[in-house]
Amino acid sequence: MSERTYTFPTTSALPSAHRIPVNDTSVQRTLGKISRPALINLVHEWLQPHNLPTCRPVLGEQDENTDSVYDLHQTIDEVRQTYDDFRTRRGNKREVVDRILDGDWRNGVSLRQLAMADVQYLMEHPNSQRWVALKLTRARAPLKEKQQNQNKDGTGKGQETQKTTTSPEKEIHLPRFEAPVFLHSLQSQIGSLLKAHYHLTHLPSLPLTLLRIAVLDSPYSSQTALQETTGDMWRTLFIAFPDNSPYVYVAVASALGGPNGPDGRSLRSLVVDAIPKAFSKPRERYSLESTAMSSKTLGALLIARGAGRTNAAGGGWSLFAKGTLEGTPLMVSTSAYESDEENQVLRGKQSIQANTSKTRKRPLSIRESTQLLSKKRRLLAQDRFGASGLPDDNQGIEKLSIRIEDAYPITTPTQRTAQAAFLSKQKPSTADKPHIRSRLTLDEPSFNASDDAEEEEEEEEEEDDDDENENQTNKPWKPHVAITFHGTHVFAGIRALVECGAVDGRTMPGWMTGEDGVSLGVVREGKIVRSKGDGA
Amino acid sequence: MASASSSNTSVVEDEVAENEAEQLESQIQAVQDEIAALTHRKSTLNAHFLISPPPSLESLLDSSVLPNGSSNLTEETIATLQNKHKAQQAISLRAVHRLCTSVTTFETRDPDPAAVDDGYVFGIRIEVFSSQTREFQIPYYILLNRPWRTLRGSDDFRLHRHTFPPFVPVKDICKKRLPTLPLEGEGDDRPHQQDLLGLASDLRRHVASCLRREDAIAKMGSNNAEFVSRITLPGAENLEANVYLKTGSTANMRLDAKGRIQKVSAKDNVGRRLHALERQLQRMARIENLSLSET
Repeated sequence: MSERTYTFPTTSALPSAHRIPVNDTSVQRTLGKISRPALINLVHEWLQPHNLPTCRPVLGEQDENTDSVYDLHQTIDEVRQTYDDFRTRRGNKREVVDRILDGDWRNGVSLRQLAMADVQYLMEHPNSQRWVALKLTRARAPLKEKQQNQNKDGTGKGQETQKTTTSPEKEIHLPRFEAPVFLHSLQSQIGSLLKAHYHLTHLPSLPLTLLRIAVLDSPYSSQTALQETTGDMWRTLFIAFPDNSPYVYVAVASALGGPNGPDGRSLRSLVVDAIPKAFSKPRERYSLESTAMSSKTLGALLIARGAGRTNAAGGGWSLFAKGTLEGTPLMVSTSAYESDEENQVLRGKQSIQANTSKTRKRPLSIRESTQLLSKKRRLLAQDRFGASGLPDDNQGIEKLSIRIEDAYPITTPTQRTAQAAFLSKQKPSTADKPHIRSRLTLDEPSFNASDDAEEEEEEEEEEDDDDENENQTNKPWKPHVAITFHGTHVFAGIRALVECGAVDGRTMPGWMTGEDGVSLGVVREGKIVRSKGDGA
Repeated sequence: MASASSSNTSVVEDEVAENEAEQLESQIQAVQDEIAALTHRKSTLNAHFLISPPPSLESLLDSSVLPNGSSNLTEETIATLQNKHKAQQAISLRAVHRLCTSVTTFETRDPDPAAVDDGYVFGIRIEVFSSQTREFQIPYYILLNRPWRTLRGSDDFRLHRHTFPPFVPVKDICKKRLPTLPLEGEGDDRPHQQDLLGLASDLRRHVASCLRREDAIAKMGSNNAEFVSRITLPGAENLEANVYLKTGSTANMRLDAKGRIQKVSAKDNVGRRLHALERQLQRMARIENLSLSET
């Protein structure tokens, strides 16, 4: 019997070098998900000199008592060689996992290794998580309120002070993200509430820093406590911090253990609440607010809520952000930038019109007119969507939910009388008119014609509140209409529908082009109501 | 006999081959001479083209008139040429404007059918030039619309779209420089004036000074190339620079908007603070004047 060790609760984080037994379900599950080449890369990463203190394999002589079929290596280079051989040899993933768990890391996989494996999986399957973008905003200083009060008194002195304080804009406008400082401060916020392991890494493929928090359902942080854990005791949460931008992306559904269910949600809200506090400094307080944007692809979030120029210039305006619209002042030759097809939008339209009106002498054949029409539609889609909404741009959102709060459009006198008659009847059961209308606008039968991967469905829900209808005789009738688009890349799908003519590109509302950069919105007067935290 | 004839034929063959080679060589030489002459001509023409004003379209069209008075160009071609010429002139003029002023305006349309003010959009385009790479960056745009025009006949602008990165506080600047519509029943105590010049200059200052700082930091790096191993710029605003020296120590500097060194923190390769170096760097005041040879 070995010497007895004592464990007691502390507020520190779980050390990266602590090892979880290889027979733990979380270890098996995490490594089992990763593909064979990625697994071999991962092992090489573990064997890097800077990772060795936390990811060291078992070296030395084979122990007589073990029943492992794998021989132990003497040096790190030998271990590396073994996995290099796996790379050249054909085989399945299982043998690599077995070699890791029963061979070189038989004494357990460290928390850091597990975190690296999880991040590797995320990089391999970038769409495995759904991310919600949140914005860090400066909480208004009470000092300013004081000054505003002074101004209300109407004293000239107050105005002067306001002038001096507001005229020089703050030089650093964004919250500074210093990874170790942030982590330390986050840990001090939530450390006393939950026992967690933190892993920070900057993704090589995307401009963002990823934080993986693995929370253990135990008050202890010692190695002994970890020996007795089971896979169910772990909850992981991913948070991404895009470089140089005031946004934070929080993963809603996680791969390992998933913070779903009531436990997961409270865990997530606990961590999310601590983020603005961790960013805050004395005299510089931050709070998080929703930005009505969520997506499975990080690329879509980086476009709509990132560090670039596209945050407030989505859809057709993306041509401005891309800067290819007119070229630099030194490009005086039109051919230099007009060879790019997307820049010919306006010119293209004009030339088509000119072709059809003036220079055509003989009537167009059917084939020619279809070609012309499809070209026209393509240019129209180009005009509305710009450089966005392309099927393989990896910037797709998979759900767009819109609630329309506009009055039912009345354009002709007959419609007006019909409307009045309808309202005088006040029968909520006949409220399927907007349903028909929105179906007609979107021209549903053609949905199947666009046979790309997009699958869109709309759901309209109308509820007519009796209370509202009672005093609505003078007010315009506002049916409750909610539209939801689903698909792998919603805006690419709508663009394809415009290109094939199912949706009229000229009368299509602007929110269908994604120019507002939201995945959830309310439409009033035909436009998305701007929320506080959006990109504009 | 047979051997003699064979040797004869071989000699003849050799001669033929030699002749062919010579011919080829002379041909190659001729082609090379021609290339050299044409290159020279191209460069002279280029230079000539650059210094002399371009010939007017009229003179070019006159030169196409044949001696018998007829032109070898159809009327349609002439009309197309004239249109293209006009368009090109407009583009050149616009480019000159943009070269000289760096802030230009334009008008465009919002294709959204629900757009305010019949889709009228007023755009401001801001050029920034990097002296380090000697090229214009992608221009920044801010697009404004007039949401209150139809309702109140007011010409006041409001922010519609922009392409500034998040480090530029566009919303704050717009709040300061563009009027906000007073709410009904509320007294007009807000400053209700529009300052488009101020708006453009505020926005331009942010993006231009960011680029100036980058240029200054790069210049500092090249001036001290024998001491500096690399420089990183954390943060998009280029207000911070981490200078890694070849001795293994690092100096992290915080700049202000105008490129003055505000704070310095220097450490050697084992993490000890180098207070002397910090003081020395701080004394140099500006990032582009920084010289590490004295340290």
